[in-house]
Amino acid sequence: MTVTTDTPADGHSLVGERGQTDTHAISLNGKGDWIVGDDALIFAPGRVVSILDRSRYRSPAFLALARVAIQKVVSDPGPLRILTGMPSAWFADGEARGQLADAVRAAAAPLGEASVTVAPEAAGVYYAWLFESGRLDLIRLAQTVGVIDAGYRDVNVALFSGGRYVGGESVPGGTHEALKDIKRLIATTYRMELSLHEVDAAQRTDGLIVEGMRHPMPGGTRAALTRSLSTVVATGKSLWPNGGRALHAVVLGGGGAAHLAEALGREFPQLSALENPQLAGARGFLAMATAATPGRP
Amino acid sequence: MAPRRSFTLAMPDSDPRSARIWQHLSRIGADADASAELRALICAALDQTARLDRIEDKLDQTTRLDRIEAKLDQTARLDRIEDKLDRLIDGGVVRHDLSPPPPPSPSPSDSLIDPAIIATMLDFG
Repeated sequence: MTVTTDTPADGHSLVGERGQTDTHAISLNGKGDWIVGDDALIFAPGRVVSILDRSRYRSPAFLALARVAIQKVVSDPGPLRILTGMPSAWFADGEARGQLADAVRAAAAPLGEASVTVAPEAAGVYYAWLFESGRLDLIRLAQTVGVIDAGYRDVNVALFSGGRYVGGESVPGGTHEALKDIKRLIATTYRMELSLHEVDAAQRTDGLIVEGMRHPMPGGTRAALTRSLSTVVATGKSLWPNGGRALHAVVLGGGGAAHLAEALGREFPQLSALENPQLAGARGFLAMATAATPGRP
Repeated sequence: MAPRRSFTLAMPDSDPRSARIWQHLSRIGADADASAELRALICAALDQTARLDRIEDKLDQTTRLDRIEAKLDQTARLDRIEDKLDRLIDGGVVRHDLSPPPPPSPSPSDSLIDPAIIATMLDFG
């Protein structure tokens, strides 16, 4: 069985400590009971945990979140092959990599013994592009490509050549930062205090309800969603050979991809924006984990 | 002067129903009351759209893929519907939900992936 994990960029990577509810909870021996995702937003909105720095890997909240994610995709107990990602900026931190692998192994333990590989987050988007047709594309594999993974915490910019990870950077400006800006704009314009997941829902539907009436998103929303653009472009031009001009493709994925695609396409004409970008990383890791599993048919 | 009514109908020139509408418009005089026949032609075109809507709804319920935005660009729309059908039939690696994935299916080309390539792809230094 192969499993892939990736952090959704939609604000659902939320875990709440369980209150007096009957909802399904994850019980961690000695580390409390936890409810995850929409349940956390409904039943424990005041006690939501969303840890964005690398200390998350030592938190029982992360363990609970990873366990639910694995349970969603694993149907039968047994040995597991798990491929997951972490931001490029942390990837050189061997201790953090070890903690992430340990946490994922512990999360999977009730289902089976797991062999865990930790990759730079952008690798998932790269693999999604390589396996886009459903098969490993050997022509793409031989190429030198830039990858932009516009995630929730940050934006990962990476370089791959001949299938090999060459290097990468994480830059601020993930969807989380944009949502905080939009939250302030909504507070100023409509005098409403929304949580970040409510802001996320509003911007996805391009409007919000105020006193029973639907209103447009406040001015400045679009700018907030693309604020990281100049940093991402500068990082790419710095990291990639010849400022990116020599690349065969610049592959774009992640939850923030939709907002950046048009402008990035003007900077990098060879841009390849993946379909359904929010789950591109997860799709790529799944394809790669499947291909890397010994004994597969 | 009689009131005039303007409308916009976006369909590719290559669509045979566009041709019929243009032909009809070019035939009628400036003051002729063409509304009945024109309405019939447009309804015929829109009936196709309603039918595509129903087909796509059924596909979306199965594949959970994104909805198509260009409702009246029938050619592009049919291309994308065909793509959705292909994915459904092929059961390709691209998945758009987090339900348990099916067991890996035998694939002649998968077995050709050199283990050394896999090792390179998973070598992060």
